Amino acid sequence: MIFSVLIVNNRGKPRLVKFYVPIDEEKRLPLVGAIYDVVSQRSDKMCNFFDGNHLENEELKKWGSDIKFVYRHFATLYFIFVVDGTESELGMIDLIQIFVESLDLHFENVCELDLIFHLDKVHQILDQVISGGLILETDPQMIMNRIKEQDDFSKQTKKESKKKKKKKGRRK
Amino acid sequence: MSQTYINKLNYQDFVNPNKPNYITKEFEKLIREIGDCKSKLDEDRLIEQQIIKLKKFTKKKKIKPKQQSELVLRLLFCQLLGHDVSFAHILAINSSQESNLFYKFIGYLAASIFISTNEDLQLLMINSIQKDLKSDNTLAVSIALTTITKIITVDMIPAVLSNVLILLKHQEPLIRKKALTAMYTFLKQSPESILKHQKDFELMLDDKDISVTGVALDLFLFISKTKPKTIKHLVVSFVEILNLIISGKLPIEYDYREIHAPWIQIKLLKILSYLGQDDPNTSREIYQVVQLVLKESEIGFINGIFAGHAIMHECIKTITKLYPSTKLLELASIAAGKFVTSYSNNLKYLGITALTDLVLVYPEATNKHQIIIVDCLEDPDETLKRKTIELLFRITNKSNISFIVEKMLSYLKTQKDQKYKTSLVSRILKLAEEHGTNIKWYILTINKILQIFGDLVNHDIVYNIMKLISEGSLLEDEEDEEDEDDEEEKESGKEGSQLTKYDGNTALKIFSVNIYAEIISLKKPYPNILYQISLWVAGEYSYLCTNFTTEEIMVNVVDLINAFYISDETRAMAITALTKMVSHSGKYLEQIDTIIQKYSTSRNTDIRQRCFEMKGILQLPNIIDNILPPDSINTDIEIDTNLEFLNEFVENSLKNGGKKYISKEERIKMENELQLGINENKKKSKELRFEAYQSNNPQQSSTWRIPQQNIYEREVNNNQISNTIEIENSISLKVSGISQRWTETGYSGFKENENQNIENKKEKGEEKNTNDNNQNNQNNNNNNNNNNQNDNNDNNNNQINQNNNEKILDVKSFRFNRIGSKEPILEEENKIQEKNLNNDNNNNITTIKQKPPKTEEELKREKTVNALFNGVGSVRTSRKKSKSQKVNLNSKHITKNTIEKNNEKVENLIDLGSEKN
Repeated sequence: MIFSVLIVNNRGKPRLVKFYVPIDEEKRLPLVGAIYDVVSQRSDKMCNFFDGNHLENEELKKWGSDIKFVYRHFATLYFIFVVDGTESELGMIDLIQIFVESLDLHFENVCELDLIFHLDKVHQILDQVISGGLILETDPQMIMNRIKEQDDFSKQTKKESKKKKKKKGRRK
Repeated sequence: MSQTYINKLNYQDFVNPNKPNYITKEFEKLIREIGDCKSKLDEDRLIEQQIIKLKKFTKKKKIKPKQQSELVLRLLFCQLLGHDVSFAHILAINSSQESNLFYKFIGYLAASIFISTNEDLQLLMINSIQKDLKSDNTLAVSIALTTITKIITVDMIPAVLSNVLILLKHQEPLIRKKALTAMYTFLKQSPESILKHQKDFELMLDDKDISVTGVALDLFLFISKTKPKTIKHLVVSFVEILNLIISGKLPIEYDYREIHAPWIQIKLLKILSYLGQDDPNTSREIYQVVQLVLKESEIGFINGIFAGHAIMHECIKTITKLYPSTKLLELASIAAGKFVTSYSNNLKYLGITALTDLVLVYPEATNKHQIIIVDCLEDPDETLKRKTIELLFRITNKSNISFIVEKMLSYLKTQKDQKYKTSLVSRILKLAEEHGTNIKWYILTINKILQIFGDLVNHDIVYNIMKLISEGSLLEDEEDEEDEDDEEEKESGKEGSQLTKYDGNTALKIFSVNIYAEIISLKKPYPNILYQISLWVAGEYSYLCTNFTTEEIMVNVVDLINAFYISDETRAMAITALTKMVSHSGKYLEQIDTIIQKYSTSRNTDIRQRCFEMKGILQLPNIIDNILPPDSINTDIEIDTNLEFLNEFVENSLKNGGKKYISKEERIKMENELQLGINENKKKSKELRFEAYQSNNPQQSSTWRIPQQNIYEREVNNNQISNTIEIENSISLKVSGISQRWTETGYSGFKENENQNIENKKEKGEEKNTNDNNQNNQNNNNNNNNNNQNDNNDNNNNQINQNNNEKILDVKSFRFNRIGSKEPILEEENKIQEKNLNNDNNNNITTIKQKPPKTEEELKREKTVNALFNGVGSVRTSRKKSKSQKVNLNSKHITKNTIEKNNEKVENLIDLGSEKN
């Protein structure tokens, strides 16, 4: 299963921190920092994964012995997936690809700023791809459809609520 | 300039057409400012300001839902940057209860991020989750299900389980999937309670939507990992699903770059590998599918798609786990070869991990790729190298050991991680020990390792190696290694014809002594451990050395002893080695004298000891050979356990009246008997001794102790009496006690004070009014008994500890001793002081004359004086309390009167004392 999805920028600033296992709030950022330290020191020519014994963190040990990190570097951002032995490394690389593609579809040429301003949207998209540490959807177009559905629906409810208010106002 | 330019650029970026309408200008400003921050401190400051603002908002009772969700978003932002926003968690929960789906989503999202470990708040969430699970709106249900996966704990499972089970049959595939993910989180937390519903998941395998099946497979993957036996019957359906996927009958949306549902394939292969593990029957069912999948995935491999590689990699892993089938293993090794030979580091890495597992089942797998694998060690990628090292450890055998160890060592030189390095060195040493065929190679390799990594080697291992090398006896004794022994002889024969004369053992010794003598002659700062081995070998076998003469070695050793880079331990060993060489060869160097001279004053006791040993041995040329015989390690020392040579001596001593030796067993018996006897004696003697102790006791105890005890008793009696009798009487009473005590000066002060305090108690009541006069007396006292004054103070303190009843009084008196001395003296008081001084002078003369013992009169005076000024306390305190001048004036009047009265008293007392004198 997938334990965590992290997006960190080149300078180590977290842009998205998502854990699929319970973890104390104060232990989250140190762990992200430790992972960033390893990732940032790796050149682009190196392979896109490394295993848990590259960094020492007590929280990681709780998750199991076969923890792996799969990451990809896009422009200014690192996309890091923390997974265990039941996931295929190459499969995860492609899953990152899918996640980024769907972000790209939604934001049109996604950049770091989009992630800052639309934190909720990023979470929403990620929830479509992964839920509870499991892969839900692997087709970017399908993911986009789902997001649109949700957006439309919330717009509808907004309109409805406005109408209701208007009606109430008239009655008064 | 460039900085501002960048800022401008940033700003332009921030005017983003995509900016959602729910982000307010304030929030936008915050994000922009944080983007411009140059240091972490600036950022923290900004966020803290923001948090203060947010706190104000949270205190408002009514917040519009829109505003609330905007606040929650800001909180999320602050939290992402690592700030505590726990004060506003309740906002997120409130927001999740909104009817608008968008606000609800933000509320749930924030809640799941904020409160993943806070149980109280989780319980608060449960209510709204339950409500949303029953909602007609599929989106609301899906959001609630997503939240469940993030915040659920074991206790909360029963509350939502029934709802989730109903949702497993929901018409929307998305809800079915999310319900399954929720079930997966339940399963992970409490497997027992969820496995009851296994049939529900089994139905999900036949779902119309393959992606739902994919999620269900995750549940089975978990079960297959923990309890494979419970789902063996499902192997057929797993194989069916896999066949279905490969056949390409699925809708296109599940394809990823022309590969059909790669993630589901991977999951199925994983499950099958767990189920087929150590189970030949199940494995046979799986063989065919795996082969098919492998074939299909090759198409993906050609196109260079990662997902295709992933499936292929998974196939290799599955094949290694299944019950071995040679046909499949061959295919797997070919596939692994493709990975290893590819240009991508990712694929190389996976190829090597796959081979690491495959080699255990199918050792031939690496035969073709050995060179490529070893080349991976030269790759700049550290992760790849480490994996390669693991693989190399597994594929090492007698034929490739020398090559592999060489490569490993060159890799080790570049390694920086000390911990990893240390473990690797010991592993290489072990590897060399296990697979080393050639003793000569082994020795040379060990030397190479020690030269570079000597500091990292565990000493135990090295001592074992040292023993093995220098004894050389393994070659002769063990039949298994005879062949190697022969090889050894042949090889050594090639080097020099003269060596062939010797047997394997001696040849080895000659070989090693030549090597180690050379190491010593190089005089390089090698690790100590290498020098220790070298010195030992040189010391033992210097006479066998062919490349160096013993003198040459000795000179080198002497130089080494003087070298700065060796430790004291090594130096001590060098001195011993020198001793051995001298004794074996009988040759002597002049430098040895200087060595002995220099190091017999060494700070290290070991070196000193060895120096003296050497000195001693060298002075006895006759017995040198007996003390340090050449090759002593292989000659067994005969030990005469009966000590027959002592017989004569024993007989002589017996004749001279010595006692006969009694064996240990006999002795124990005798001791037991004796003990019994003593015990009986003890019983008898008890009564007798009791009497004897009584008579002895008074004589033995010190003479002064008993009087002291008596005094104490008397003291107690005095106390009791003095409590009842009036002051004047009490004074006379104490006199008797004090006179005795003055023989022991140390105790006088103590006892005295005790008496004084008793007096204090009584006089306190009477003399409360006469307080100020005490001040004068105190001054007198200061003049009079400076020595005693200090003692008194100290003793007063002691008194505080001892007598709790008198505590308060003593503290007061103690304090006023000090305060009183600093107080300015009134005119009237001065006069009186003069008078008293005259008296004091007289008293002083008497004390000088009569020291020791002090006069009773003086003691009395002391007591009374002390008693008087002790009384000051009450007035002083009252004075301090009254701040008005009037009271002060009054008190002055009182003082005049009291002074006169007190003076009379003191004079009376003095008179009394002089009469007695």
